[in-house]
Amino acid sequence: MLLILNFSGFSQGKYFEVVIEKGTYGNYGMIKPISGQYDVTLSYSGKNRKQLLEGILDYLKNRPTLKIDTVLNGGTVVVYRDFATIGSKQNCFADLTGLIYMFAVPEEGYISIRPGGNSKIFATVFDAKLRISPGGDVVSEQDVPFNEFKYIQPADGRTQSAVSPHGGLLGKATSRKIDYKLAYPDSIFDPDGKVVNTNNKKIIEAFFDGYIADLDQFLKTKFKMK
Amino acid sequence: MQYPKYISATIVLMLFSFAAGAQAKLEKRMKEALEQRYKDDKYYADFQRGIYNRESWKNSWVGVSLADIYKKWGAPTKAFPDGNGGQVVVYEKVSNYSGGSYTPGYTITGYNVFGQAVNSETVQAKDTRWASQYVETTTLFVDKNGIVTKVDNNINSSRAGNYF
Repeated sequence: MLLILNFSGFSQGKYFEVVIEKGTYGNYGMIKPISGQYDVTLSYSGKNRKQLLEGILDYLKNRPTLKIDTVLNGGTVVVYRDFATIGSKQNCFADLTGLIYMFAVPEEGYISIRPGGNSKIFATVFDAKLRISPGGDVVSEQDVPFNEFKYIQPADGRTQSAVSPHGGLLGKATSRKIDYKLAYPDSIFDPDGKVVNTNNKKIIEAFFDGYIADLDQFLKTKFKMK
Repeated sequence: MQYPKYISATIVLMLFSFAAGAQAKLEKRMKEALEQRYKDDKYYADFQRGIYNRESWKNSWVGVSLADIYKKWGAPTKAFPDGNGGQVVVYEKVSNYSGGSYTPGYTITGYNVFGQAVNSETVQAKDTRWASQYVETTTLFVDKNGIVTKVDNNINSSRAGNYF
């Protein structure tokens, strides 16, 4: 059972917004369509499924940075992958890189499209240069630290006690509080779910919107539609 | 009367040192938080490298003939037909590790000059013994031409005893 906590009052993207969802093991952030639906629908009136499939494949031919990951059942679903920079430390507090899997489903007269759950955003404040293998494994040059982007700042923790490293009352009394959020200025939400970085929220939403807008524009031009 | 001057200078100094102290405290907290992030991110980077290396290693065997595998790896643990003319070949490697020690408990009793027990202290036995077992299973999928088409690799571990 998921509870969607939507924080109004902050601008959102055209197609997507970053939200917090409440899961069994606590809150987590994710990107989801603003329509509240599972995916975004792009309409191309009069175009059948085959034409739309060809349109998607033609689009991917014209975007060499997008890699076809899977074409299921002869084209019922086209999965394509991108590995791209979302923002830099100068404007996002961390270098953000997206490994995005887009799932496009051509139907009669429309395409349903969404980012897959296996999509990831990586963040580094330590200047890691990320590389991806053909199989989709992401590593950093010289294993410089990086991690998956934390939409929510981690809650406060404590240092390990030198007197009682295994914890307990003595361990707690002799350890210090760590203000984790100080190290996560790139996160969008604080541990209580309050938006603390509207800039990154907008940048990430615009980044995901770009996938939809670019495909839509390409297909409308191809099909000579407005 | 010079007092007001001294007082204002002292207040300014106090405010300055208070601000400097607050700044230093914030910097210390920031450093601790960043050190923790560094540790977490380094662990993730190393973990990703492990996955990458394992995937690379697995992919390096795809396309190799089963005859060459036997030459390099020796006899498999088991092999069976896949039902399509090919084979599924399984290698298992079992590793056992153990450590720790057992120190029996004891009681120290103090006696007075009359031979009467006046106090005693019991020291509990200390048992830090542990054992763990890792089973690494590598499964090769071989086509009817004897060529490896896919490699799976996973490690299962079990442990017993006193872990801290």
